[in-house]
Amino acid sequence: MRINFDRWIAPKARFPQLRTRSIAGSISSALLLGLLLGYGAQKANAHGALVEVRSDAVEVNAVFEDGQPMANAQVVIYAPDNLQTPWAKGETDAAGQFRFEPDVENVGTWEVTVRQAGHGGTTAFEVGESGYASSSVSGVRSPMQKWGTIAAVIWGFVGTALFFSAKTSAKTSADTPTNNQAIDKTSAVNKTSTDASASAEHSVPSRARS
Amino acid sequence: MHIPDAIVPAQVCAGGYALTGLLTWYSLKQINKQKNPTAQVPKAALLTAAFFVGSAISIPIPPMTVHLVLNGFLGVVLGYFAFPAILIGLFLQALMVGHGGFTTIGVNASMMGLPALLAYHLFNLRYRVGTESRRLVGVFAFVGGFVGLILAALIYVGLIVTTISTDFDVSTERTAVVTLLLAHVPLAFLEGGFTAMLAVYLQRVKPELLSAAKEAK
Repeated sequence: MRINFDRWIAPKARFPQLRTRSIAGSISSALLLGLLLGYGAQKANAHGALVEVRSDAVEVNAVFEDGQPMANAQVVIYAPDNLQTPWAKGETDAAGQFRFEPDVENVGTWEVTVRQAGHGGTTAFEVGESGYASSSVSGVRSPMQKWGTIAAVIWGFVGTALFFSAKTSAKTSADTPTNNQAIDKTSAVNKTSTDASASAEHSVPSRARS
Repeated sequence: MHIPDAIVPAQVCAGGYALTGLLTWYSLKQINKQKNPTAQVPKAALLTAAFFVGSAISIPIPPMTVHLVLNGFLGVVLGYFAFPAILIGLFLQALMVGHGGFTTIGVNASMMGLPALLAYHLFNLRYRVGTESRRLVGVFAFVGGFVGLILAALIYVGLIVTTISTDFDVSTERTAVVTLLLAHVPLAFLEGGFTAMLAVYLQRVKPELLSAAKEAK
């Protein structure tokens, strides 16, 4: 899920303009604005990473989908001037956190990748030249929203099941004769057999005659 | 056990999509051979919902936390319907709850769907063994559920281990992946047991639900 930061509440002193955004489709994010001393934070729900900008450092907070910290996960940081070679490497602590101080002279988009056992994600933030950057985020999803979404999807599947179930039942009942139809058919058969008997009776003399 | 975006190279993602396309075509072809292909849709829809929710149910197996996969279970109960069910479930997981990724839907679908089809064929082996007793159904359903998940976990490990970027510490990542694989062994027993219980129950109360897979043969 992509997030768009339009406004940002970030310290002016050390990082004049800090802007974070998610570049990994796997990262669904929530932004907690101004919770920690007026600084912004980005939280990822799906094996993602939370990047929190503080006055003196960038803090990566890696969590699994269920909110458990991604402890001892590998962290690789890429600077804007060279996105091929890691600028720095590290490892999250037991709480899934990792802090570093980016080079403020290196203006542009920084990338942070967190990985453990095939899980993780990539997050980016930007270091600008001036002004405040701040953020708003789209796609913020609380646990209630998440389970609401799941419930909606389940309801969709149940509806699909009921639709096809009803369709199958209707087809089955159309193929099976109703009681009235069965009675009618029985009457028709009886009538036919009666007529046949009558004609047989009438035909006997003719046969006898023949 | 979903591979998120930006973990495996683009070539692997493309290969996953190609294989998923092939398997989807083959599964739909097999489904179309059934007398009434839409008859199994209600069951497939409900189990797709179960697969969708399964990824949200976490089970702590120290030092990891794993979540239900249910691919072997879907293979046993749905037969060839399992593959499109898994594909749809993965798409909705990526779209609605951000689990997995859009670029890796093909890889994930092949990783979970192929073992699901294998689980279905393993379950069908019971017809060759003997009379269809409850015990036989339970044993083969357990094997299907167990093998389905273990095989998916092995494919996951193989994909991750062989595609680790040199920017990371490869040995550390390998150790973590193997630990994750070991954490899936108890889960495989759990899912195998669940599959066996449900198969025996269906065999007792509504055996035609299990014989639908046989019809496709």
